[in-house]
Amino acid sequence: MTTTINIPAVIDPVDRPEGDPAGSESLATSLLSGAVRLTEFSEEALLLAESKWYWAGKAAEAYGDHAKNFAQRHQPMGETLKRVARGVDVFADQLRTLQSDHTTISSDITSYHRERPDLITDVNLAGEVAEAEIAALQERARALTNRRAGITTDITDLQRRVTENEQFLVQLFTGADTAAEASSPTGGISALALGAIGRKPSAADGPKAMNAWWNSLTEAERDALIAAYPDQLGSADGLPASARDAANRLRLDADLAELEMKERDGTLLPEEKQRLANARATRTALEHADGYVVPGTDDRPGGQLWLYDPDAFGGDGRGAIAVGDLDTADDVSVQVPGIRTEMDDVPGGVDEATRLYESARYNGDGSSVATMFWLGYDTPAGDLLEWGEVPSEDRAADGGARLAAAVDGLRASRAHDPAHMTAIGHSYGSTTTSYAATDHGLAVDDIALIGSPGTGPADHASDFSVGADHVYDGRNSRDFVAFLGDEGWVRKDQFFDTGLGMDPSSEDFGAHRFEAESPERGWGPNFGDHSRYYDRNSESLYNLGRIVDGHGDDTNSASQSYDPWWRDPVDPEWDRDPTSGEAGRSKTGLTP
Amino acid sequence: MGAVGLLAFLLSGCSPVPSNPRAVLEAKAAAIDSATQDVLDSLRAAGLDDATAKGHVDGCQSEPTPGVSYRAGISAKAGSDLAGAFDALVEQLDASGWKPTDAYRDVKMDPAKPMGRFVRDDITLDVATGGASSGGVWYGADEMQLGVTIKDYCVRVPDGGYISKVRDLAKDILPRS
Repeated sequence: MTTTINIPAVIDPVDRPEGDPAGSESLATSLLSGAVRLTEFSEEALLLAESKWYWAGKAAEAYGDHAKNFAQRHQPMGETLKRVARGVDVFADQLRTLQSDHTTISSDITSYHRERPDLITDVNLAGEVAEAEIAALQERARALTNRRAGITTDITDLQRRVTENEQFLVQLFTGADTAAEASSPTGGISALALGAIGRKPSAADGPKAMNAWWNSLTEAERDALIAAYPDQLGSADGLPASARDAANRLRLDADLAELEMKERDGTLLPEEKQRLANARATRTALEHADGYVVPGTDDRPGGQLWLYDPDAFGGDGRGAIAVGDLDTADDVSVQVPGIRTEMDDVPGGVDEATRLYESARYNGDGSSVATMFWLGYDTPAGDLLEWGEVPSEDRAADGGARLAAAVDGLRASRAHDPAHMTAIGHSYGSTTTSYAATDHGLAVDDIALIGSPGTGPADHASDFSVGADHVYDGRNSRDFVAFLGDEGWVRKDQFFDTGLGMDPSSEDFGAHRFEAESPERGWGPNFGDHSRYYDRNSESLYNLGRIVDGHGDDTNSASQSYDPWWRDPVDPEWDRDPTSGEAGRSKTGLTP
Repeated sequence: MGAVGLLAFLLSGCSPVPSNPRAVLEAKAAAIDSATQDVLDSLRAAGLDDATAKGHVDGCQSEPTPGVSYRAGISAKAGSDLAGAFDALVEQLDASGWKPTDAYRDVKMDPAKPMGRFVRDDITLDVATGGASSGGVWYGADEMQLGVTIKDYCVRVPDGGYISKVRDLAKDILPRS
């Protein structure tokens, strides 16, 4: 009997996507440089248009009108050129991805072509063989056919994406190649982007609607949108973190290019100085996140710029950077900072995020992790002269709403693949987190409060959205700020009522208290011990890592403080010897 | 007004920012590097020749009172007899003035993978063997890993991302000869 075994055909080689990503990026930089020159030009013209005390009359008015008109015509040209520059940047990024994908497909084809002749040889040699061997050969042929089908699909997909990327570039340039288009408010915006942005829901529709809209778009539409409207996408709750990251990096690069060029030219406006400082701090922090490798390992999680808003809150700015992939990580944490945290503090916050990441991975169960430093609210300044505003809970209340919205956005961006999420509030950030959990249904799984001056509206851990069993507290016994919270009924409103609610380490509050002492702690209450919760090889960082990894039930418990009516509050941790770097207690990384 | 007085009290309890934080950190780094080189000598004397050492810069303390610190990490191939290598090193450390502490007194230790903490002046040396896992991957199963830290490790720095100005202090630490 003759048995037929169908050997799948060879696969033709695939053309490598043409182009040079680095060259395209260089073009983008040149275009941006031209855009900045146009912007400077129009700003200078506006200055010239202002009336001067030493020159009046009809000639002066005519000159002013002309200069103003000149500025108004050049300003949109600069904006158009900026959009084109951003578009070329997006094209370059996509081209790099396509070329990488081409390399992968070519490797798959090579592997396929190695296995195919082997199968042909084995079939030819088979002759009279047992049924089992025939079945095995047929199975190999089937598997090879399936692989061919998969590779063919990948090739088709690659070719479609290459075409879309090239069309995107063509549209980008043809949309701004006449004087009229360059001067138009939509110059350099592709038809794809214009069509897609028209369907974008408003923020009021909620992050789920935003996510549904994003999922309805083609890859080409998404690229076009990121290039044209990074300002709108970079902070759109509900979008995947990768999309927000791409948009925010474009904005950051554009800000740095523009403002540093203006600084060199001496045309930086006073109100732009703070923006440049914020952009530089963000760059420093992002570079650290991007290049971070967990000490002693080859684990390089990468960074994501989830929020970049350098002009927010009167120039204090908003920013959030993650270490790890927020779109795919099994465990995601959000660190909420406290008083006096502004954008120049983001590098320090990201450094804490790397230490938290290291701890969660080192003491974890092998799950993937992303830790995000989130400065998304207007923290109190905490300056001596402004101390009066620190005890106010207004900013914590506002920040709580913002934090809950941010977490809702993260949740909506991966509704079908929910992460285990933890919010960690430090200092005033713990009060902010308390507001989010009490008044806005903060949609995390676990909450950890460290160095808390009080829990705002929450009188008991059960007031939190996560339930009392998922509320954790770390308090260094010498942390003065943690003394400010209300301790029982006797010590309520102690220290001139500077506290911000209940002390979460107290037995009355009912949270799980974990060990958070430091061998470097002071002899008495002090401010330094308020800042040691993210220190490497500390008890606090060990326990925070366990909570982030989803094992809050396996932290090292500390006894809660209590308030006997006949004496001062008692903190049982006061007399315990702290540990540092001890396995299972305070060791937070592979390297000692 | 009571609150202003309170803040003044709080701030007075903080370690002040030194006039030149980098110089303070460099001095601590130099002490750690020197101690690390001593440990490299001890490792070689204990028959662990291929040890490598690196100095790391970390952040410590959070805003608004941030700090930076410096520590060194050493790794050395120790083969399959980790306990034997550990004992040989302890002998050399003892000869060079390191004193064991009872830091791991309460830790249930695998005798085949001993650990220990030693001090000399204001320097602390942690020794671990057999590696550990991170992210589900086991690293350094046949290695001895050591960490060198200093008392009062955290140097206060100005608010606002100062750490980026001292990251360049991270480096490979080479043996003396």
